[in-house]
Amino acid sequence: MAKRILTSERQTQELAQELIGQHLKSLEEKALFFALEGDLGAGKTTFTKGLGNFLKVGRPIRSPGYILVTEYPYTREQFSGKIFHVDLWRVQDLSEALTLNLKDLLEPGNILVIEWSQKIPQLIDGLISNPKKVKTIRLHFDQKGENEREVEIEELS
Amino acid sequence: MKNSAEPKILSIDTSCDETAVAVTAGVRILANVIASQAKLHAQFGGVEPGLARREHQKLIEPTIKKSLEEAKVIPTKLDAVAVTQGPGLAIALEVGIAKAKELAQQWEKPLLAVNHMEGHLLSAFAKDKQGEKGIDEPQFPALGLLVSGGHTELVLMEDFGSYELVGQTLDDAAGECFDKVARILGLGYPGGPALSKIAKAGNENAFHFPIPLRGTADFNFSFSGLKTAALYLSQELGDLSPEQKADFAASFEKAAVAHLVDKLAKAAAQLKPKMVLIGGGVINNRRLQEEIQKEMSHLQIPVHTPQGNDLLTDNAAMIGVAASFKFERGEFADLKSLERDPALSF
Repeated sequence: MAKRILTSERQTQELAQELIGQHLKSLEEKALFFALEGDLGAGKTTFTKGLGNFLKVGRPIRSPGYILVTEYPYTREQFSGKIFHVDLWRVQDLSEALTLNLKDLLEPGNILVIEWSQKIPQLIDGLISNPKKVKTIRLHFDQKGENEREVEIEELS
Repeated sequence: MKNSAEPKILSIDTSCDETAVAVTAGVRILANVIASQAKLHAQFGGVEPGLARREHQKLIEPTIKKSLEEAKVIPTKLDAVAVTQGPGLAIALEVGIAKAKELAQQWEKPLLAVNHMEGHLLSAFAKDKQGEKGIDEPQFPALGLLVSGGHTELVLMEDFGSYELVGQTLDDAAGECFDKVARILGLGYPGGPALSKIAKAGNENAFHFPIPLRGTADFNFSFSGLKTAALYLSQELGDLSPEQKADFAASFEKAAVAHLVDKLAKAAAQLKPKMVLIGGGVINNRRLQEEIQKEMSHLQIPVHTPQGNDLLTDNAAMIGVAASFKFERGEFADLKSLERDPALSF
């Protein structure tokens, strides 16, 4: 587990770019899953914007909020796929979350990002159960001050 | 294909939470059914409407049946079937589209694919069964302000079918922001209406919230800054008394409304529309409606609001209205290739 201090939105986006850069190779065979934990305003969507910028998804990444799941196709030289951006803020419980069929999205080339993943731990457990299909990185964003976030980064598989 | 001045269309919208079906004759609403409101979920043992959301697969057929019954229309008398193609939640949109394709095929009617936001934009054109209310003489160009849980947009309309997105949120939608601030205040869900309710008794000048993007020349919106301002303020204040909550709500609402109206006014002053159309669930907010009317009357631009609240929140009647104009323009969808487009935009 690693810890980082971020003092700006730009740094949050840079962290995202660093992490996806590190794990880009694995996308050829697996899905990549970022489980983002943290409260309101902690930087979860900002982090996701960093992923979108790295992969040049072509339109600004915004909070899925009401819609719950938004998708952004991307193309690279060797492969292509989609970022699936999920927001559990409005989701009440596991049974509602399961109706989103998130497991079906874990195909090679796909990046699944779940904001508020701490809300439904059983959902996350279900998604990461097969390490051959998905590489999982858990991030916990903690607001330390108006311009400071402490992030815990853990590779779960 | 029958050429009808008032095409009878059955429309389906499953773009997010609600399963909605409507029957329209031109812009006249013959039936406008929303499954959760019609309590159709009770058939499946569901008790709370909240739990019925996105049960599209289960609710679609009873909702279709109910809308045809209410409209007193049989499928052979329909001129077309319409469905929301997007934007929205992909797995939800798919249910409506699959069903619409099935019905179009079964009933041998042409299919129309509609943009959910075009539905909101044209919702003020909807008339009741008798042909009352709704816009009689549209004046173009029109400027539309569409504000909902999932969207916040400004659209310039040159004519039916000719739209340009001139402003949108850069981050959170207005409705989402209202809900999140309501949650910060410990109010139930949906928070937006609850927040507006307590704001009525509050002092809107008790707290200062910055109005976003005040100085920028564009017509875009931003609500994530207001959200974090509310968060930091609540952390500073600690436990709030009911009076403080009301003041907090009123102050926040004042800033959120000012932001929306500010950008609308800016766009109206520059683009000089002959009428303003408003739509989307957040337009239910009375303060927002009042401020819009006030600003637009300064500019002497008439404002058109849909005739009923059931046309503001997600519904299929507005889809039928938009579909009727597409029918006239001959814009039909291909049954085989029509796919959901969760990011569909103007």
